[in-house]
Amino acid sequence: MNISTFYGLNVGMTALDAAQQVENVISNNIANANTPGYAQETANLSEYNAYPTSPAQDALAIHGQFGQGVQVASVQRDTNAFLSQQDRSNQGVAQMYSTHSQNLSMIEGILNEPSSQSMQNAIDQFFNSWQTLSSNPSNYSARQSVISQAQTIGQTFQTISTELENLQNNLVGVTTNSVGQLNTDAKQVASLNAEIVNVQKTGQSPNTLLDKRATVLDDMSKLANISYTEQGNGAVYVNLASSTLVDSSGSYLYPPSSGLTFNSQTNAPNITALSTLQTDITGITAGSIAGNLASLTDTSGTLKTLNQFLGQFAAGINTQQQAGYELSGTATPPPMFTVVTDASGNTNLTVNSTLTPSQVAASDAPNQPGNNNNAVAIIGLQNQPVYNGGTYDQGLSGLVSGIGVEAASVIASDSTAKALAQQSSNMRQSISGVDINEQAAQMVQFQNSYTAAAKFVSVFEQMMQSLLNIVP
Amino acid sequence: MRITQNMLTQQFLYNITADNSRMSSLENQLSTGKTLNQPSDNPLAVSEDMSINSTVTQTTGFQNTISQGQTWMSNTSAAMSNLNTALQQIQQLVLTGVNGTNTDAAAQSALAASAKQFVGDISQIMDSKEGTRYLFGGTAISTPPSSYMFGTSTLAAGASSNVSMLVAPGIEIPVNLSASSLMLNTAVGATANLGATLTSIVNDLAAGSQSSLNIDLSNLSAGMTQVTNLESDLGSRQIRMTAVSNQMSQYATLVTNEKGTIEDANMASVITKFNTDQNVYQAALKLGSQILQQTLVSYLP
Repeated sequence: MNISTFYGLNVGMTALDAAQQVENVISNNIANANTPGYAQETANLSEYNAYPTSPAQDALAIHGQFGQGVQVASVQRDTNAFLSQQDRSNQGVAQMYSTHSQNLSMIEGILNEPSSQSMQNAIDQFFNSWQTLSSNPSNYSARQSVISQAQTIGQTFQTISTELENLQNNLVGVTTNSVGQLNTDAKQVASLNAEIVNVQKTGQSPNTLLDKRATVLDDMSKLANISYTEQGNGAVYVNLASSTLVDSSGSYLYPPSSGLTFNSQTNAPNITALSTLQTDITGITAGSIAGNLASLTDTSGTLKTLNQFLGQFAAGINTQQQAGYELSGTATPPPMFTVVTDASGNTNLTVNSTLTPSQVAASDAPNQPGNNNNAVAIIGLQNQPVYNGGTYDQGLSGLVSGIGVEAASVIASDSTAKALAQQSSNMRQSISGVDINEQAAQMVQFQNSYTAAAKFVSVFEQMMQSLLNIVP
Repeated sequence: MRITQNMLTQQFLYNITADNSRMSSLENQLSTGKTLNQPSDNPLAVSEDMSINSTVTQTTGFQNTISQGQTWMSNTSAAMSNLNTALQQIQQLVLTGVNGTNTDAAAQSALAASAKQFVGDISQIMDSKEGTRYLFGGTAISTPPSSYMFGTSTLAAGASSNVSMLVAPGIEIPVNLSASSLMLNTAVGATANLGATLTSIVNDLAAGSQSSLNIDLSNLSAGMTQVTNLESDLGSRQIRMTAVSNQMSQYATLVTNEKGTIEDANMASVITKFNTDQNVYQAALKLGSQILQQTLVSYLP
């Protein structure tokens, strides 16, 4: 009994094969170097079992064990579960702050303060027109100017309310769509889970499917504060706060409240009312959905403050206006502002359409065209604590600086969260990212080993030739 | 730690974005000249700035009112000196009537005619207007004072009220003298008011009644003293108005400066920061272009 003549040729073949497979893995790494969610793959080489396997067998004929060459034992996906989880959670928080800060800067833009065109200026100019009227109470154009400035107040605040309402509606739309996206992602995770479990049963590592699922999980983390656990069979169960999104039996639609219907295409919940949205979607504390929900709270809070302000302002001015008298006659003048509620339930002011300039109440006594005492009383309202313990101006600047304080703190948190996300992304990349230099070095390394194996095969062939040449 | 090309690219972009956002904020400050462009730039300063804006608007309003009041007062003051002249002329006529030896009817009626003319002048002076408003009409600005100042008809509503102007928060200064206080108030030591005295002077001159003229003379003197007193009261209000006006314009300057301190950008500091950031930015770009393009692949044959 002797060892096969072609034994070495087979070993050379395994070397060629292995080198080629490693080059294949390298080429896939290079190809996907910039693919989101791709984790670098490493071909793990191992030596074939020795021949003969047991020392007793053929021991007399073969003195010692021979290696049988090399094989690619596995193609390993380079990830670190802890780093991935940490990065996903950081990305979610960063996404929340960046969404919130973008929306807040839109609110700041809508309020347009400090500027010389916005709400506070409208209020100041209104009182200023009363000031002008007080120095010339019988002047028709000064009276007309009071009415025009009152109209300016109505228009200025109406523009702001309308823009805030638009923002609110957009945010509701974006939020439900994002929830739809989250549901679609959950469905995808469930179906990927099933495929992954099937492949893993066969003992293979389903790297491509794992990459796909990692990308989906990344997307979900940017939408909401999902948590997930990997199971022994390769499946991943996903939870959102106390709700289950994916488990062994598949995916579940979020939010789980009963009676809610979902769009069959986008999986978005059919919610249009802000109040329903805020009661149904709770427990989301990170991701862009959380950012949008926080922005919704700010927008509706701002609208609420504006409503309150306009209501009290109109009531204050109307009361004082009706305490005075018209240019002539003893009649009680009509109120100046009419409070209107728009389709979204927010307050708008319009100037009483029947109010004529002579009905602007500058006088506090009947039939005294030169009397300015009521105008002086209205001007006095500007500096009196008539609105929540402050002046009207303080009410408005309180609203603006409130939004400013919140925006400033969100911007600060945003930059911190971005830095953290950048850092954790770097940590994750340092494990999973493709290093072109490293791949190029390995490419050359295995090119060399392929060349060496090929050389060996050619040398072996010459050896065979020499042997065959013995035969005449 | 392993550093991959992607990490380099991401870190590069992260830093460039941070540079850009810093420069964008500085650029905003440079081109607007203001540090406060959004409430979030400095929320407390923004609220302070807003209240200063409102103060500036109010101050401008008060300044306009003050200048209107000053016009009203100086017109009143001019009319008052005409009134004084006319009253002195009448006083002369009454003195002539009292001391005169010529008691013939023609001379008496000539005196009475002159007096009547001066009384007419006084009516005209009392009907002086500021725009469409009667200067001496109180708040009854559309009723001519001559219609009631001789006691011939009832006083118009508000004719004796002050015309006051709001010159500072909570501070009103009366700017007028009313015909009613000049003509219809009986002066100290007098038995009739000035309006009635003027009417009786004309009648008594025509009648040549010495005893009545003596009473008229004492009433007229008392009335003239009252007019002078009221005029000096007006003068003191004018001084007060001037003081408020000066105070307001000083306050306006102060508030404008304060506004500048809060919202204006310190250009020297902004430009310096901008230059620093620009250098950093250029260095980052240069470095990025060097690092990002090179890998081992570039050198492989």
